[in-house]
Amino acid sequence: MSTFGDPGFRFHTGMGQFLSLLAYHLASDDLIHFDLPNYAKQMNSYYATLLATLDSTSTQLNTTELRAALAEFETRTGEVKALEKQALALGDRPLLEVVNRKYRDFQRGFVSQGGLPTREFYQHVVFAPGIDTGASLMRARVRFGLDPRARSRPFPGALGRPAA
Amino acid sequence: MLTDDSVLASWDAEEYGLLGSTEFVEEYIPWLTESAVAYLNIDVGTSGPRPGFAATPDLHTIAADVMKKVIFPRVGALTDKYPQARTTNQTLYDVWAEETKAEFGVLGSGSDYTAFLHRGISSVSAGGQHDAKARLITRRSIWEPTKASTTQCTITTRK
Repeated sequence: MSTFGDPGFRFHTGMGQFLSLLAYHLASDDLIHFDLPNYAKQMNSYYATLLATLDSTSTQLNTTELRAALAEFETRTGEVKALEKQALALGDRPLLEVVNRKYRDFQRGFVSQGGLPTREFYQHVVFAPGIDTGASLMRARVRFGLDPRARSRPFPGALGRPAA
Repeated sequence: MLTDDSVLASWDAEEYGLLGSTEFVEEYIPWLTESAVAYLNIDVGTSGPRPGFAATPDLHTIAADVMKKVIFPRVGALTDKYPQARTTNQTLYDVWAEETKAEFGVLGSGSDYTAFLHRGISSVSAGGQHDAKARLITRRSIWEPTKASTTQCTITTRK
């Protein structure tokens, strides 16, 4: 590493500084710097990708409810951002605490649905690995070995797709 | 007032199905649910000079801001094909933007953030990749120090 890979350990230092500085700000700043409006923006881009995927197939899917949920989500993220700005402008510590708690707990709201069908380990309703890629398949295989109930289904990957 | 804490951890058995980190999450889930703010992951941290980041969208802005404060000069044997980088004091953000058009990856699975993300904890995963121009010297680095299948992380909490 010191001769060929990273003389002076500059990449190592850079990555270490990035992680420690990020941890420092997240743990110690008066405000937890979470950007929730960006969450809405990114989800809208995922939605656009979903529509493009649907367009490229003959599958019909009603996305009205999803569209409405996204609009509601976008409104709410704007509201919490406004609350954050108000707390900072007024130097209102108790209000800042309220905002920080909302930010800290925000992501928990995505995991209250009991997990994905047949893959309940994956509980986040926005993000998941591909159904037969990498570590997802590995987990399915480990579970196949440990859980007798899983063995009543086909061995993951053996038939081209994991048990589903 | 929320009190803060940071936990540093190093996981075993990543390649075998994220076993170490998943066991940790299952053991400490009440504490994590109550107090975790973010999970910061580093996996294949410096196998090359091409920094890449994947994160939940709430962390994009703060992560990019922090990158702008870190000097990341691309010098040394790995970067002999990047002559323009040797004379400039680039930040991590500059290099990352050059490599990825300043786009964050989307987290799915594939490293030890998985169990945390899927219990509702905001996560970012950092890595440094090689390419044809910058040769692979070693896949793992001192950021994954003990075995070929460990990942390191920081868990930030406020309670």
